[in-house]
Formats: sequence, structure tokens, C-alpha cells
Amino acid sequence: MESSPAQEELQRCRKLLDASRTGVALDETVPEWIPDSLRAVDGIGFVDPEYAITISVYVFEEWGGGDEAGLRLQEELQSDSNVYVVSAGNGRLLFIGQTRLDRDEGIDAKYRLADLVSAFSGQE
Amino acid sequence: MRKKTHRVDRRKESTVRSVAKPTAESSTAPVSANTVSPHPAIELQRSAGNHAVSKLVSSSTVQRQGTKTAPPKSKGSTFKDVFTTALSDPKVTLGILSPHVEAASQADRDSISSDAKLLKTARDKLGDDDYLTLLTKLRVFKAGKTAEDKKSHTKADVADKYIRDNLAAYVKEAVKAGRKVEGQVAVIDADDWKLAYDKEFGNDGEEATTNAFVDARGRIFLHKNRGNAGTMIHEGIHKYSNGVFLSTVKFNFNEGVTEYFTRKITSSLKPAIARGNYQPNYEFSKKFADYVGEACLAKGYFDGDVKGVKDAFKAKGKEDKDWDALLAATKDKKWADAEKILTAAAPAKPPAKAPAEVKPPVAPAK
Repeated sequence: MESSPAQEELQRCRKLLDASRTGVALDETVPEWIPDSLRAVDGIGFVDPEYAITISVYVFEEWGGGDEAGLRLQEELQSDSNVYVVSAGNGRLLFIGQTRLDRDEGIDAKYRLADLVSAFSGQE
Repeated sequence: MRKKTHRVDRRKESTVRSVAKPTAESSTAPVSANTVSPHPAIELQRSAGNHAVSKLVSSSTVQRQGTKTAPPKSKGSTFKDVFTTALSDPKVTLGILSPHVEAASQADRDSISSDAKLLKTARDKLGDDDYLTLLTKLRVFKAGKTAEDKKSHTKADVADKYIRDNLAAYVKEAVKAGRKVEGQVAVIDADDWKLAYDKEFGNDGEEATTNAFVDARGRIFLHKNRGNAGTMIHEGIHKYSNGVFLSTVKFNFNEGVTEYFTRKITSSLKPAIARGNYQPNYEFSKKFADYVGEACLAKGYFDGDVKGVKDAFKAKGKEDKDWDALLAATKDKKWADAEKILTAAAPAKPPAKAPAEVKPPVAPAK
């Protein structure tokens, strides 16, 4: 059965975040926000249990379609200064990740999330 | 930027540099930056029967580089018509076509690049490598996934404008030196991307996770469906930088500073562009810019004044060994360690010695 364009984009997302690239084995789950609520067509969630990092990736209809949603969510989550939040777009995909800083492994978690969003963003 | 170690193919470079010398008809033909010496192309233009190339020369040569005057056209012939006819000449080369493509209006260039059949002909005639260069000369810009997409990569000339406007104080020397990204980049679809990527990297297993790269010849290719509107700006910033900075701090730190200046622009746009590229590199570079001062860092990155950056670093009580340790940490992506070098307290200075007490002379006993 042929995969839909949205499924193909999610597959691309999996390649971008693959453990062979990032060195981090992420668990797949559902995204934090319902895709419809962001006007996304589909979404997927990831968790890094070692550092308590949560990630949601959404597919939009258009290239750059997640830009506004990403900025809005980032603003909302960053109101808590103890949370490190990153959002990034790659084509039709939007990545939003967060982890808490107010703990012993907070700085390590921050740089791990930074590595993950960097991997998602692709090589330039 | 995704880049491999340069491998210089001098044979290919000499092909690109061959340029037709202006004929009597084309006395004001603009010459590309890669011009070397005249060449069989002169004979090509003068030989009988080579009307196609002569027509290409005469139809576009009055326009000097940088002018906005549209080139005169032969009666009834568009630039595309003449270009198509030129391609039919078995001796046509990129060197002959280049100056005329450079001199053409963007609308004329787009008339070529929007014709898939014509591009295929160009590829068959010129060969893959020169075809890829032609794509950058044409400023090929394939937008989005469908014609209905409202967003796309930032255009190269717009990226140049953003850089020159937002970083005006920092890029004066770079601009004087003629640095820019326009004319060196193409935003391409999957077929041309595969051609360009395979040529540069072969089957290295990283194609699917690459949005853009600079090849060994300095040509930049962006995949139209990947990346974000900041990708072109990031690649553009690279073009304005001074190579001394990269050769001193090496790839990872250089990418962090490139991303730092990229986000100065992308975060100021309305709406802002959210980027996560080189995130840990960026996080460290932001702290480094705060530490040495942004203007000082800019002078190092854009003008090559790396000594100034090092002096500013040491001015806060750091030593040569700290600088070496910082470069080693960033080279190995040990960002937390690099950050600790910045935040480590300067070694305490020994207290100044009190001046020796001067005792008054003892009066002699009476």
C-alpha cells in the first residue's frame, strides 16, 4: 500500500532523528498537542526517558506551514523559565521539544535536546 | 554548511573559465568573474554558419553587468529562442553561454529554467558538471511542493539584502570585496538534487538528511522541499565570511557563529523564522559573543581579525592555554566544557607587595 505524503514526511522525520545519527534512542509516542488543533495534518511524539525530554513533530500541508504554530507554542512554553524549549521547521515538518533545567542533569538535558533539534533540522 | 574537503579538478575549472571574447557586434559584452583568456570560442563566433552563437552574443551583449537595460532582441526572437538555438550548435560550451546568462534579466533566465525540456537539452549538451553551474547562473529557484504553496526558501538576492541591511555595520569590507550569495546558488527539485548530491558525495547514506550543501567548487544547492526560510540566509552568511576565521576555529565553532548571525536576521523578520540548525553550536556561540562582544566577534568572522577576538577573550583574565582549550573543546563539540572555560573565574592575582618601610636615620648620641 502506498504511503500518504504525510506518512512519507513522518518517515523522513524518523530518519532525521534516528539513533544512528543522534546517538539517542527515542521512544515513539503520540504528539503532545492534537494535530488538528495546530492545523497540522498529522503528528508524532518522541520521548528520551534518560533525560526526560519530550518532542512533538507535526506535518503541515505546506512547506513552512508550521512556522506560526511553532512560534506560538514556543512563546507559551517559555513563560516558565525553568523549561528549555526549542522549535524548528524543516520543509513541511515542525519540531517542538522541551526539557526542564531545574535539576542536576538540567544542563546535560539542554545540550542533548539541542543536539536532537539540530539533527532534526538537517545538514546545511 | 555541509561541505567536503575540496578536491580541485583543474580540468573542470578550465572548462568553466573559457569565455567568448567579445566580437565587433558585441563590444560591450560583460565578462564573468571567471574569465581567463580567449579561446576557440572566438573562432566559433566568427566561423560561417555559427549564426546561433553570434545571435546569442548580439541579442544580449549591449547590457553591461549591473545595468537594468533590457538587451535588444533580434526581430521576433526572445532570449529563450536564441538560447535554444545556441544549444543546437555542437560546439556550444558553458563558457560561451555564461556571460549572456549573467547579463540577461531574471525574467529571461526564468524562461530558460522553467522549461524542463530545454534544461534537459542543456544538460545533454553541456554535461552534468557544467549543467549544474548553469543552474546557479540561471538562479534556478524551484518553489515549494506545489504551485499553491505560499512559502518557500528565501531568494538569494533577498538573502543578500537581509544580510547587508541587518548586518550593515559588520559586512562593509565583505560587500566592498564583492561577496554575495546571488548567482552562486540554486534551489532545485529532487532530480537535479540527486544529480548534484551524488556528484559531490556519492552514496554516503546522508542524502535524505541534508537540506543544502556547498560543493567543492563553491556552488550552493538547496533542496526545494527541505530546510526553512533561514537556510538561504545561513548559506549566504557563509559567503560573506573571511576564511581565516574558519581555518582558525574550525568547522563546528564556525558553524555556530554563522548560525548566530543567521538568527540575528531570522529572529528579526516578521514573522520570525524558527531555526534549530546547529543548535548546540549556536547556544555556545551566543555566550561567546556576549563574552568578547558581538562587534569584536563580527570583525573576526567577516574581516578575519581573529587576533582581535583572541585579545578580547584574554582581556578578561584568560590565558593562551585557555584559548587553546576552548578551540579544542569546540572542535570536538564539547560545548558544556567550552562554556565552562568562559564562565571559569579568572585566576586570583597575588596581592601587591607593600612598599618597604623607610626608617628615619638614627640621630648620633651626644
